Amino acid sequence: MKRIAVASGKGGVGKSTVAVHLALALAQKGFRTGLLDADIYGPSIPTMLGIKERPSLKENKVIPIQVRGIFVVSMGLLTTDDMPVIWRGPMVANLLQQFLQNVAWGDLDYFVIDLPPGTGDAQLTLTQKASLDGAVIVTTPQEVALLDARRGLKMFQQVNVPVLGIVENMSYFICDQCSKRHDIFRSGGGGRVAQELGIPLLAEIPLDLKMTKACDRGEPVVTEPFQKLADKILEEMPREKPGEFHLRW
Amino acid sequence: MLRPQTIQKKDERTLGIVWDDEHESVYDTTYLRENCTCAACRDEWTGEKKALPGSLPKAVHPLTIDSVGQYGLKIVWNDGHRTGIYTFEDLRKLCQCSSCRSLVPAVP
Ligand SMILES: Nc1ncnc2c1ncn2[C@@H]1O[C@H](COP(=O)(O)OP(=O)(O)OP(=O)(O)O)[C@@H](O)[C@H]1O
Ligand SMILES: [Mg+2]
Ligand SMILES: [Zn+2]
Ligand SMILES: [Zn+2]
Repeated sequence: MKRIAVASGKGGVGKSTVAVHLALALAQKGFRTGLLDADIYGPSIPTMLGIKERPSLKENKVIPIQVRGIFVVSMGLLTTDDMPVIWRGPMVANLLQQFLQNVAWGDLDYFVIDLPPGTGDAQLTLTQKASLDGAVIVTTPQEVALLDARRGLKMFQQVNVPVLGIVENMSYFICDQCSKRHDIFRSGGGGRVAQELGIPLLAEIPLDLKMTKACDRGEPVVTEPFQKLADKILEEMPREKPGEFHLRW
Repeated sequence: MLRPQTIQKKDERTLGIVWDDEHESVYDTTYLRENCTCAACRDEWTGEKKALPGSLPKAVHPLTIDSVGQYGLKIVWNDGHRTGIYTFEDLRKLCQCSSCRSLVPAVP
């Protein structure tokens, strides 16, 4: 099983959007894929996947919710409304560790984790405890976001987690009038930062209002940029289909 | 559950398994044969071994090893035994690498 974290230096850049679509894309390619929403402060994955029910318990293990071919647990859905969200980093990290151990994930091929935004101590502890195989950093083309991406990269390097690359979200805009690509932000920022930091630019995801609407309805659709992203991940982090072994002595 | 990444014949008497967590297990083939948990080799009620060490031919080794579903390996042996299925879980516990051997006693 390969564990991939989807991270971002700052909030609202589309981290959860990327995590959901990446997990769906991997599942569509035939891999058993789990998705953990570790963002207890602002869990948005249940909405994006139309999940309303809380996960059930069986023999003291949390049973993930199976939706659209992936296995999902949202830490936010397990916390109760009256539970104060003033948890400190280490508490969240311990909770995450428990999650990784006490969820009946089954035999996963890929395990995508939507980390809470930021590069503080909380995230550092999380990344340490999750024993990740790799991370992708989501950013937008603006300068500020790129600065945060740099911080994200540093954080993963600190705990020896390989950063697979950068995903530039809302990279460009496909006009529904003329169908041409419009670089509404200063274009190429993600590519530049990737080059500077010596890591690949894994994907450029366009600003896509259809996608936003689909996610709001809880019916995400895996579009081409996400399929390409999944292909890159599979390349960087190959996981063979559940193996068949044959050995002649 | 941990699964093997690769299984390999290390030498005439040694099976090697590299696991998902990169742990590298080695198994003496006679030891594996002795620890078969199939009904023919174990008393179903007590779990006690029927084929006692020593009653086996000295150079017992597999002829073929094939996966069974997603959970284990079936080994066909040169002593004619062919009903033993080793679950990945059991195999991991039976690991005979230097660090595991010191921790885990062999199945009684
Ligand atoms: N490429 C895109 N095109 C259009 N809308 C997008 C795109 N990416 C994200 N959005 C929208 O932007 C909002 C924020 O996205 P998302 O929740 O994925 O960000 P996040 O980084 O996970 O935020 P948070 O820090 O709150 O967890 C959502 O409403 C989402 O639908
Ligand atoms: Mg989010
Ligand atoms: Zn047997
Ligand atoms: Zn061992």
